[in-house]
Amino acid sequence: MTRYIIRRLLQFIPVILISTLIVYALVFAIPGDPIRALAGDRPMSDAVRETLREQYNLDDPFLIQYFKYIWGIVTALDFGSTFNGRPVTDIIEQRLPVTATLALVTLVIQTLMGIIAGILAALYRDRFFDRFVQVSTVAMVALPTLVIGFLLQLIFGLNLGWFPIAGVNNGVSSYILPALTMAAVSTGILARLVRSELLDSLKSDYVRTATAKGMKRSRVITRHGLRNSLIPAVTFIGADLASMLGGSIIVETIFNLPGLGQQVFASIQGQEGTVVVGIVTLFVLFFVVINLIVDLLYGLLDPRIRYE
Amino acid sequence: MTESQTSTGLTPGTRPGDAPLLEVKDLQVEFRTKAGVAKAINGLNFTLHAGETLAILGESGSGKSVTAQTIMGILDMPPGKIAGGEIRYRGEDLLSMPEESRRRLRGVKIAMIFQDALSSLNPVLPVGWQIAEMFRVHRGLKRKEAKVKAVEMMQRVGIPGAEERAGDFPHQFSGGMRQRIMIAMAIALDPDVLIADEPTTALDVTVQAQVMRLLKDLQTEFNMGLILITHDLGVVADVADKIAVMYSGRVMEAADVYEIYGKPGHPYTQGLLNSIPRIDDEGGRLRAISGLPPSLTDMPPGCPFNPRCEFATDRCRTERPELRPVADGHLSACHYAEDVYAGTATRTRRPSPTGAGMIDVSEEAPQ
Repeated sequence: MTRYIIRRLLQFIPVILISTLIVYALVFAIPGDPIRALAGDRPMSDAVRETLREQYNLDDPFLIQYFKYIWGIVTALDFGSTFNGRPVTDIIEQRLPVTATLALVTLVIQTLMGIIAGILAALYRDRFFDRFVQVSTVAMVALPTLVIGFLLQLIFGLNLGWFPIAGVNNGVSSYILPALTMAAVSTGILARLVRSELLDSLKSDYVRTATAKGMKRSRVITRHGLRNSLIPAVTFIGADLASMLGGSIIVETIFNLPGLGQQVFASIQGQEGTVVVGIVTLFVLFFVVINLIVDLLYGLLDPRIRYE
Repeated sequence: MTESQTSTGLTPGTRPGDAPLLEVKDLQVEFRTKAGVAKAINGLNFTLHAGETLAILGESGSGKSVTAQTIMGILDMPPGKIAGGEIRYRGEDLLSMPEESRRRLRGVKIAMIFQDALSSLNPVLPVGWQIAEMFRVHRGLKRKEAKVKAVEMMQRVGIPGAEERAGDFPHQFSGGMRQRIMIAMAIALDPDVLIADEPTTALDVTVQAQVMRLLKDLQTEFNMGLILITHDLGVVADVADKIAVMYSGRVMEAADVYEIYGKPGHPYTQGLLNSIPRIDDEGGRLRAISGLPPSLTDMPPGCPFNPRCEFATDRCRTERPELRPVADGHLSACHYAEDVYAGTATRTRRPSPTGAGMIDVSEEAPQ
């Protein structure tokens, strides 16, 4: 077990190196001069420009730039800074709480709604609630995030006025509509996953055994049926949580949340490679850590899985 | 909450012991399928007494497992439907009993062992926990006490190192050990009736004998009524007291084991016995019963066995034979039971030399 974890942690190194290299290369490949973009319409003296180019190693070949960047991180935990001189770690520190809150609220919403809807649909199979779940989940999965976001803003923000339309000035209630938007697709998938897994499980031999043991129906479902059917749901939730940061780019833009997603979007436009790479590296790190946790959790839930 | 004190709600006037342990009367079970109504059980009758082993013998689709599931009350309904009849446990009809009272008998007084222990045990729960659950739910024992009881049961069914192995999961045991765990779980609360549905079919031949021996020992020890459901004539011969031969959801013949093997009173039973390959038999032909069992959605009129029977007459094709005594304690559902019993029945059709009734083992490769 410990050996397994150590091996997985060591695997993080190449994953992160390769992914940062790719992101770095992509930002590098964006045409145009970032310093000129920074200056905008205002004139900038050649001396200033040369100094900035030097400071950000912009005249070095691509690979040299990349290695200088990695070297800075490894030796001095220096993740670089923006062209305005603001450290990237500073930006992350400021914006991470917004994205983290969004991800957390989304996670709670989709887990609760998805699992409960899935269980009820399975228990009331082919009845009204099941049909309702089947149809509504198709709609949730099929509608683009943008459309869902605007619809929620229109109905619950504008017409009913229950939740703020944009911004983060109203505490957790500011996050409800963005989180609902982000949770829509996953809630739909999760509900269907839990429904079909639970139906399979309820038809299984070991559930029949539990019934033959004289257990109450409720105990048969919770102790014997549900336990097994939630294993794939855990995997899905984990993978989904990891990819949520990517989804935050769209949602934070729709709802004007000052989080990491919005920052990545702005930084790509401003060709600020260090910021993009810094934040994306964080996303990647988060992704691999969550995946490791899910894999370990999987082993706890299903004893048949062994770590070699 | 403990459920140990629960009354079984016996009808006034009947004392346990007056009535047989288990009595199945005219049981009828159907399945609603797209192809029509499949009549899985058509008027099944048998009785079981304490300490008695009844083997229910039959080929696939004869209704053996449906019978077991109906007695346990674990039949999937729908598509299953109990169309009629009674199942009396100590005189009390299980089918008209409220579900909650019935649940309290299930696993406690009437327990069941399934064929495939690997899929029938919960893969994600330790085996000790699964046995202990019986004591916790039905006897209200604390987790620790229940665990001790579970380990005792595991020792009783012969699992080496029971104490250490109680925390292991089903996949960590061999097939024979898994079936022993199933047995430990089923007999945990000292049931009156134990139903074993093909308990040894999934096991190696060497392990089969051990598991059957264990079942027999436990039955004697706890004085249980044992219903052994099987298609294996060999398994039955050693352990059964009585045999009920099922065909198309009906009992064709019922008698004690020596009677059945020595003097079968039904052509179907005769066919089954003849189809056992014998080591001392010269020649290469295996005498199988020709044809296939009738479709449950489309039963032939008259005797369900008539299309395959060597002795069938016009009467067999129109009038259904009732189960009736041919000798003391020997029942048969055949119009010519006495003749078959005495070995004087006249063949109405010849077993054809090429196929029906005869399989040439020397020419046909084993399947």
